[in-house]
Amino acid sequence: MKNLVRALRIEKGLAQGELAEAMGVSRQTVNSIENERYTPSLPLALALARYFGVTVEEMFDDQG
Amino acid sequence: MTRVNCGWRGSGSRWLMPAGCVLLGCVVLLAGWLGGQLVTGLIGLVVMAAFGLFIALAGRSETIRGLRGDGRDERFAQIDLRATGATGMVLIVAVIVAFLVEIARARRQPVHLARRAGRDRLRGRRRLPPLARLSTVESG
Repeated sequence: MKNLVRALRIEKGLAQGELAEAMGVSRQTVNSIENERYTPSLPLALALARYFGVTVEEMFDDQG
Repeated sequence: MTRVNCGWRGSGSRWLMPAGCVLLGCVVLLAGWLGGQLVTGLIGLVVMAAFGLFIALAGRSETIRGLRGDGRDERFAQIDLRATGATGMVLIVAVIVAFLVEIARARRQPVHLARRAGRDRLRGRRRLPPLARLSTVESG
């Protein structure tokens, strides 16, 4: 699923590992989400959106 | 850094899997000792302990951390679930195929086995003393 995770993470100056640590998931999971190879669960999607201060709809685009 | 609760934390202990490996090695040793193959049991223990040590110390691989339990997250759990499902499917197919093969083989087997069993029974009866032979005829 298309998403803004990479853009928002870079904007915030975070490494994948740091974001993964903050979310309580592995760095590979963050990498997979950014590369659209893995669709996160609803709790993780909500956590990511809250972390970056955006809505889930803004962060994830299921039309793409 | 603030941590956000997303409902998933790798809660497994880092030492659970290595301890399990050593425990299994001890069981192999015990089985070898009981079976009179102490050297084989000791080799099993050493191999399992080495594997446990490898699992405990090889920290950077995601797969190993997932196996160990401390690197599990929702994605790994999903992969694990799929792998378990696939393994179950393979097992079910193997059991069904084995069942069908047994059914197919069983068509020929009873004739063969019955012939052999009958021959053995007749040979055995010939070796018996006359009275015992009579009693087997009456009972059988």
